[in-house]
Amino acid sequence: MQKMKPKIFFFLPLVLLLPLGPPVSALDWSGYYEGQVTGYDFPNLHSMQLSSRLRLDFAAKLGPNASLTADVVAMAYTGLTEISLLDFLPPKRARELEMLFGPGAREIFAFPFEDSLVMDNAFISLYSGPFTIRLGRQQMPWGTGYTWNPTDVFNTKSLLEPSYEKPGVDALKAEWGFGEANGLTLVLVPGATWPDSTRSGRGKIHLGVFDISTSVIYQVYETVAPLAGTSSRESRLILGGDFAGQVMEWGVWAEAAWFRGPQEKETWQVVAGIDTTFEFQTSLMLEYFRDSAGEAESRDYTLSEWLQLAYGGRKTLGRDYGMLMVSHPLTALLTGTLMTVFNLNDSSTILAPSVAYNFSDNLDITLCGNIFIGPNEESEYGGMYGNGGYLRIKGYF
Amino acid sequence: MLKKMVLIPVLLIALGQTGVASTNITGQAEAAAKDNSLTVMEILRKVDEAEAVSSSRGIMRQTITTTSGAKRIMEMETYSRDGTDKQLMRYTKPARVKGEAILMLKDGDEIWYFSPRTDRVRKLASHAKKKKVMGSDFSYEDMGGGGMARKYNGKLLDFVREGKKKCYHLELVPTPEGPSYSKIEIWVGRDDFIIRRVDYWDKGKKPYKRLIVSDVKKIENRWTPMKYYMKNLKEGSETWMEVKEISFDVDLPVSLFSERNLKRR
Repeated sequence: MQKMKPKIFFFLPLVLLLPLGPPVSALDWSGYYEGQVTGYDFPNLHSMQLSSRLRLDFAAKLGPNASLTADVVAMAYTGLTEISLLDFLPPKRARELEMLFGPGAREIFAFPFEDSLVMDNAFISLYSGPFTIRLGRQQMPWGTGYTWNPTDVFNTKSLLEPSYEKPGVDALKAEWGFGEANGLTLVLVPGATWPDSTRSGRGKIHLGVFDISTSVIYQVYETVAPLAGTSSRESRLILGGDFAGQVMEWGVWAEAAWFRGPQEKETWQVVAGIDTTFEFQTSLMLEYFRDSAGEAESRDYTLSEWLQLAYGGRKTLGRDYGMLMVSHPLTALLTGTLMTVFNLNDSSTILAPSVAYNFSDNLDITLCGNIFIGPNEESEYGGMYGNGGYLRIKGYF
Repeated sequence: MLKKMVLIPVLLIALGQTGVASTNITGQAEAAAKDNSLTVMEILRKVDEAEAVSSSRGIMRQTITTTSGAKRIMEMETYSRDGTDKQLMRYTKPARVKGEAILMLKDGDEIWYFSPRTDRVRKLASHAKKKKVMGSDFSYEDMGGGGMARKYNGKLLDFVREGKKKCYHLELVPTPEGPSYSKIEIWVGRDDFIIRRVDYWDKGKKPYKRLIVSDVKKIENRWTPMKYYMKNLKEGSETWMEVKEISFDVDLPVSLFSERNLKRR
């Protein structure tokens, strides 16, 4: 639950630009409204939340080789508007927090859902032949993995909805593309100084039926130490690679990264996946993920690691994971999907069955359940997440 | 074994992905048509020749009617170059899919899909060709194309009329390079070598899908089918593809058909 503050100052430049920019006829705008009712069933809490997300997209040609792309995203919540981390931790870990911080622990580790106004995209693109430069807040997809992306230092994916749009990254991106699918990408995420800036490069070649990439990333990031109540900026070097292609009609991909962080600590992550579509239109996807920094057993999960998970400092607790997704078009307008994520070390599982219905040309309805199963409260998905589900209605315009 | 796309030249024509019949239908094609001794392979080569076009650009409208009668309408811009070797589709309507784009290279053997909201390009494996495109009765492999003579073997069943048109009626079985269908039957115009009808077979005893081509017009001196009707005979759904605009031999740079161009909006 990332706390978002209203950032209306990001919106102002766009508003100011509109009257000065291209004629209104050149401005292309669209968007969507997404309303969602979510039900939570925690052991000690039964609650509901209505969230509204309104996104307005703007695009304008600024000449033959330049364009502006921007959006404004407004979020509003009613019902459950604040949760405490203590409700999600295994009881043993929650008690540890209460012992450390006293009766105020619940408030200290509260995560509010606050109404917000943000921009996920606001960038100008310049094109010249094979070169593209993008400056501003932008989406930054990286890597070929579906559920996990070891080489992606820019985004945090939702395990159950990995393809959902992400918050933008403030960056300067330069791309040189050649051939059908070859290219070189350089990204700078400016910090206060050059050493305090994240720099990354990715080279890609198209070989046979495979897209193959290598990445080099120097990442500067903020780490939070919730127990100490402090944060600090650290850096690490990441060398990675990925590919996507096919073998015998099966889609295959893999992505791996080696990290050299503070105190020369070295870790690595790898993800590999396959997918196919059967003649009866059912699609199947499988992914395996391994994190060398993960723990092999649930009893090894420390309070610090649980907190890092909550604050985004790590993606998972365990070492080995699997993901299975089966999807089938029940009718032309109705699709059923079952997604599961397994922690192979502690045998806990998330089940997320869903049905998506295309109600009209511009309206989708999704009903999704989230079921957490585990052998004990200490397991990653078997503890206190709380079963639940949501109804989402999304209308585009 | 890597299977390649099935060819539906008529659809490809509609999508602006291939050329249509020869610009001179009184020439070689007509002379050949008078000769009923053409072999199946010769007929397929004539079909391939009739499709040959350097490039095209068009606008298509797709109307899906589900078994319950619900309709879904989409529009897309289509581009092609080097016959069916390079193809690009970019959806323009409705808002739900606006900006989504599909790049197909090597006669559709390689596919990339672009989602504008996440700015992500995903490479699709060849199995994705079996999937329905945006819920329609056309699959990705129906959208691909190229090389009937290379992708099929078969036999001439008879000479018949399909509508008012005298046609060759062929039964074709995919070669190892061919599509995922178990077989197809096609009805090919005897004077213009435009395919008028295709029946698609899976492993069942009846065809499960049928394509009917209509409203063939002469555009820029090429016979161009303007309407395509695909009926799913098992499920009852149907999809119309209509050509709203089409231009041939337009100047399209190779770079248009690249992954990086997918992201340029």
